[in-house]
This record gives sequence, C-alpha cells and structure tokens, in this order.
Amino acid sequence: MIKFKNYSLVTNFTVIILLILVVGQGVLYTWLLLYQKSYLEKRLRAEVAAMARHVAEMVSEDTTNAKPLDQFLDVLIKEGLVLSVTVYDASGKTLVSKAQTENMSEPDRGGLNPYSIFYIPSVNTVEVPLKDGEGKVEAVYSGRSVNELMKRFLFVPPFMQGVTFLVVVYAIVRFFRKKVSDPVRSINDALGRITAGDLTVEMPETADKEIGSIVKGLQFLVESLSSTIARSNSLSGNVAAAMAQLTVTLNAVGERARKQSKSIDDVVSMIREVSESQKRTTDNTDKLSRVSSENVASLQEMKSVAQEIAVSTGRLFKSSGDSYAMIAELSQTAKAIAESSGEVSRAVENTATSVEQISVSLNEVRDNTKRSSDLSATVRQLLTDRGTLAVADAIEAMEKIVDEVNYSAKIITRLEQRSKDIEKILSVIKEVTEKTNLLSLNAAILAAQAGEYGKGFSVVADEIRSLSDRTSSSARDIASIVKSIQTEIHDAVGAINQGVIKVEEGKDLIFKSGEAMGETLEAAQKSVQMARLVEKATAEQAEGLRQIRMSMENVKVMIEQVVNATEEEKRGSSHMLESISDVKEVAELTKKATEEHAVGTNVISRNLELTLEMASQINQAAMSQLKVNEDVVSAVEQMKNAGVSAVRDMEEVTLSFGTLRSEVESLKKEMEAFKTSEARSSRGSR
Amino acid sequence: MPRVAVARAGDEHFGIDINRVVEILKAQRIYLLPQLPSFLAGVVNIRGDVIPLLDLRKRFGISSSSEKERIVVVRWGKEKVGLLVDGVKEIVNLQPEEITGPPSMFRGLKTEYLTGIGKKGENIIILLNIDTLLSSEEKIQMEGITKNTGAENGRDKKAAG
Repeated sequence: MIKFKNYSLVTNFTVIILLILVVGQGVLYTWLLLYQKSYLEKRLRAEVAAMARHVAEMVSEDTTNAKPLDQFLDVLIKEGLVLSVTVYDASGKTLVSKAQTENMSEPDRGGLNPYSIFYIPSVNTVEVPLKDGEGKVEAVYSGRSVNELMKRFLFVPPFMQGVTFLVVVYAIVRFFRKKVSDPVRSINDALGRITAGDLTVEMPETADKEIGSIVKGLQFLVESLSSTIARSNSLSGNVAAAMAQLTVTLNAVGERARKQSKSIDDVVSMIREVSESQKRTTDNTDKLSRVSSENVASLQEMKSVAQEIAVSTGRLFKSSGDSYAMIAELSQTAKAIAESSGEVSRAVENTATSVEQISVSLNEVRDNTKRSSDLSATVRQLLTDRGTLAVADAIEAMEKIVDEVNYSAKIITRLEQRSKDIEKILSVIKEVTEKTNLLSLNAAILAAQAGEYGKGFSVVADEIRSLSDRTSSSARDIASIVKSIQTEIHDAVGAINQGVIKVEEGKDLIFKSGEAMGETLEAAQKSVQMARLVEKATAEQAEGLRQIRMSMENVKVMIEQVVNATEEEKRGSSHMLESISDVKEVAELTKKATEEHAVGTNVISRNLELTLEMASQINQAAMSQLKVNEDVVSAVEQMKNAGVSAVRDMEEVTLSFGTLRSEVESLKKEMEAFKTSEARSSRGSR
Repeated sequence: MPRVAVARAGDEHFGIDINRVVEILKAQRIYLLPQLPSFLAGVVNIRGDVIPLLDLRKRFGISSSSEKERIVVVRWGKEKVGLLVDGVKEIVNLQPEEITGPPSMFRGLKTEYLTGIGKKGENIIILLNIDTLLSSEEKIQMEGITKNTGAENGRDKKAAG
C-alpha cells in the first residue's frame, strides 16, 4: 500500500486516480500496439505469400516461357515491398532470381531500439513450394511499411492521451476543491472559533448533503449553547447586580453600626464624667459630715463650758447674796471672784474661739454644699441634654440596622433562588454535552471505518468531542462555583440572623440604659434638693452663731467690768457694799446672758445635728446614685460590647459578601468567555 | 495501525476494534427473555432490531456501576451483539510498537479473550477478541437467540407489510 503523508484528501485522491489511469492506459495501449503489430505482420506475410504462390503457379504453368514471369517479377520488385524472389527446383538449383539491389543494404536497427518489441525485422523470408512439389519459391520482403505505421502509433496517441490527462486532473482538482476541501476548511475555521469561545460564528452554506448535515448539527449545537450561555450570562449579571445592591446595603449597615458604636462611646464617656462628678460630690458630703461632727464636738465643749459658767455665776450670785454677812471674808471672796472672773473670761474667750471655728467650718460646709449642689445640677443637665439624645440616637440607629439587615436577608433569599435557576440551566447543558459526546464518538467511528476518505470528517468529529468535553468541564466548574455560592449564601444568612439577634439585644440594652439614666436623673434631682436644704440649714446655723458671738462679746465686756470692779473693791472696802449690789446686778445679767447662751447653743446643736443628718442623707443619696451609675456604666459597656460584636458580625458578613462577590465575578468572567450573539449585541448597544 | 474504541468497565479499559463497532448508544431499557442464558444481560430494541446484550462487567467478574452506561453494538458474524459497559471514553490510534502480544495470563483474564495489550502513555488497554468472547457452547445458544429474534423480526416485518 502506498503510504500517504499528511497531504490533503484532494491531493491523495487525485494522485491515486492518476496512478490508476496511467498504469491502466499504459497496459492497455501496450497490449493494443502488440496486437496491431502482430496483425499487420500477419497481413504482410499473407500478402507476400499470396504473391509467392502466384509466382509458383506461373513457374509451374510455363517453365519454358520465362518472359511473363520475368516481367511479373520485375513489377513485383519495383513495388518495393518484395526485396528479392528466387525460384529453386527440386534439387535446389536456382531457376529464376530477381533482387532489388539498392535497398538490400538497409541497416537493421531493431537490436538497439527500445521500442523493438513493437517493430518487426526489416528482412523476412517466405517460402512457397511449387505446385508439382519439386522446388520452391523464396520471397524476401521488407518490414519497413509495417514499422513506419507502428512508429506513428507509438508517438501520436500517447501525446493526445497526455493532454487529455491534464484536462481530467484539472477537472478533478477543481471539483474536489469546490465540493469538499473548501466546506471542510470553513467548518474547521468555524470550529476553531467556537473552541476559542466565539459562539457568534456563522456556519458556511453548503448545498452538499453530507457536509450540510454536519453544518446543521453544528449550527444546532452552537445555537443551543449560545442560548443557554446567554441565559446564564444574564442570570450572572442579575446576580452581580443583586450582589452590588447587597454590598451597598451592607456598607450602609456597617456605617450605621459604626455610628451607633460611636454614639454609645459618647454615652459611656458622658456617664464616666457624671460618675466622676458624683464621686466628687460624695467626697464633699463626706468632708461636710466630718466637719459637722467636729462642730458638734466643739459645741459640746462649749456647752460644758457654758454649764461651768452657769455654775460659776450661780456661785457668784450666791456669794453676792452672802456679801453682806461675809464682809470679813470679802477681800478673800473678792479675790476668788476675780479669779473666777478671769476664769470666766478665759472660758468666754475659749467659747468665742470655738464659735469662730464653728463659723469657719459652717462656711466650709456651705461652700461644699453649694459645690455639690452645682455638681448635681451639672449631672442633671448632662443627663437630660446629651444622655437622652444619645440614647434616642442609638435606638434609632439600631432600628435602622434592623431594617437594613432584614433587607439584606431578603436579597440573599432572592440570590439563593437565582443560584437554583442556574443549577437548572446547568443540567440542560450537561444533557446537551452528553448527547454531543455520544454523537461525536459515533461520528469518529464512522469516519474511522471510512478509512482515508473519512479523515477530514474524523477531524471534525474529534473537534466536536473536544468541544463537548470542554463544555462539560466548564459546566462542572460552574456547578462547583454555584455550590460554593450557595454555601456562602447560607453562611451569610446565618451571620445576618446572628446579627439580627445581636441588634435586638443591643436595642434591649439601650432601653435598659435609658431607664437607668432616668433613675440617675431622679437621684441627681434628689441630691440637689438635699443640698439646697443643707444650704438653708447652714445659713440658719450661721445666724445662730452670729447671735452667740454677740452675746459672748457682751459677756466679755461684763466680765471685764466685773474684773475692774473687783480690782476696785480690793482697793477700797468702803465702797464694797455699794459695789456688791452692782455685782449682784451684773451677776443677774450674767446669769440671764448665760441662759440665753444656753438657748442659742441648743439651737446651734439642733441645727448641727440636722446638718449632720442631712449630710448623711446626701451621702446616702450620692452613694445610691453612684451605684446606679455603676449599673448604667456596666449596662452601657454591655451595650457597647453588643454593638462591637454586631459591627464584627457585619464585617464578617461584608467579608463573606466580598468572597461571594468575587465568586460571582469569576462566574461572570467564565460566562463572558463565551461570546454569544446576545452578548455581542448588548456590547454593541452599549 | 489499529483504531480501537476504548470502553471502561470498572477500572479496566477495553479496546474494541473499530471496524467491528456499529455504533455506540446510551443505555436503554433491557428486556429479559424467558430462559435467557446467564451470560446475557437481556435483549435491547434498537430501532426495531432486537439485539442480545452481553454485560462485559459480568463477563469478566467486575462489580461496578456507572450512571453513564453505554451499549457498544458490534458485528458478530452476520448478527449484531450489544456490549454493556460503564462508558466509552474515546477512539485511539495504537501504533504497532504500542501493542504487545497477549501474555499467558493478564489480571485474571483468560488470554483467549484478548488479542493483545495496548499501552497508550500510562493507560493499559486490553484489546478484546470479540469472536472468542463467547465459548463455543454459548455461541450456539446465542445463535439460537439471534435466529429466533431474527425470525420474529421477519414475522413482524411481514405483519407490518
């Protein structure tokens, strides 16, 4: 078998046809020539033999008269066909001999000529016996006439055949190029473009039945692929758009969550401030109560001194009553009085100092109370202004987050539906590719069975199979991408649901913190009231103290007078009695003043006790406020944590959406690798 | 340069001479005839032709199942026989140097069923001898079935005509 290299089908076919034609024609023509040669030879021989027979007849008829025979022989030889004629008798003696002298020396070329099989020898001999059986006629003739004829046959017709051949070859090549090669090449081109992903390729028109059916099948395949891919493409576009929307929504949610977190931070810092102020208030009220208790101690001392004074004045009074009787002891008594007076004076001095101290402490109390009242007012202001506002902001933000998250959940559900649609389309693609694969296998088998002639077809079948393999693998890729999208969606749904729960918790906590803030506000109001009361009480106390100081001054003046009088008494006993009555009066006055003093002290004591009680109440209120504040802080902290975890969840959702989006992008890219007419038109319209 | 259709049964790949293959079909409904020989899976109706179906996996004791079952219809004498396989992968050209003669035993298969072993890269393709796929006794039984079904077909055609 002739081995063909990778020449085209047309070339192979033409070469085979030509070979068959050349060999067949050669054999046939050789046979024809040989036949002709033998026929011509036979005819020549028969002709010469007839002539020889005629000569023999003539010889046997008339042996005596040689003249007509001689003439006949002359004519015969002159014709050129017969070279020589010799008549022998029975004993072999030559009777008549005529020969053509000039042509006898013709060279015999037969031995060297390659076409010698088509020529006969140039000199031949025919022997014919005479009629009576004695002797024979030998005729020698030339084969030149036959050879010349054969020469013409050898060269003219092969030339004609050659020309005919070229025409036939040209016609065959033209026919195959038009009917087979061109359509197969154009189908191959189309397949090449389809394999590269261009589905907009236009199938070549062919009137041919077999190739037309291949083209139709391809067209059907391309159309179904194109339509399914266009649908997938539009779906993936929808998915991408939905993702973009979702991403925007999620960003908005993230923004809100951050805002909320910030406002919660504000609330926390504010509450810290409030707590700080309240702590200072508590410190102040603590100091206040300490000062108040110091005051009470001083007052107690003062009271005991006053009692001593009272005792002394009582004794003084008694002494002045006894003056008259105890003139003798007067001097001594006066001395005692002077001593007592000094003592009284010192005590009064002490009392004044204590009162002064109390006054200072009271001022301090007043200042502290004022400050604590101011601080409480500030607390109240802070809570009413910014606190409630921030809480309302936080609640609003939380509600917005809930709305956005719900919207996201809805979009994700829609996305899930879309991915299910894609799955449905994929199953259609799978079916088509399976059918194509089977079709291409059978086509390959048929092509292989057709042998060399099916080679072009087998290339087409292989291409279709590789195309269907590629389609199937890309369908598998798409399926896996869709699977991962579904998983992501599932994760996203879970994360969003968790986000919803967190947001609800956050909302509850914000409500709780709002309530706690309300309690704080109440406590602050109460503490302001208390501070006001303390202020008022302190003012009253200050008034009482001022009275005490005044009476003290009076006492001091009196006692100085007593001292002076006693000094005078010492100097002159004569004025003693007179003076005694004065002393009595003064003692009475003193007694009165002392009583008055006791009353004032009692008032002060009562006020101070009231102050102490109030201070402790303030302290208690501040303490409870502090505790409430701590509750608020912890609630807000919890809220902040919830907010932060919500933000984290949101970030997680955003992240998973990013992955999702990139998956969708890659899906879209995969789909865009297929160029479909729809895609082209949409691109064109863009 | 023989061309073979590569059919898969379990993990094995069997090469079937392409000149014997009539066509490759999706697996379709298999009909069970009464008193069917055990080596046949049944008969299938392919466009009016009732063809006996030989389960290649059962024949070689391979237990497997595939979703993409295929029927390779081959010429068997004047008749056709369907071979049930797990799938048909491709058509391959085997160069002479890629074919070795059948060893005395190959993976537990009697070598009378093989014409040789083809090696294409890493893959080993067992080249099936379809004519010896059935023992002589089985052949007689098979001929009986094909005759019967052929006669039935003839009757059907007459009836239809």
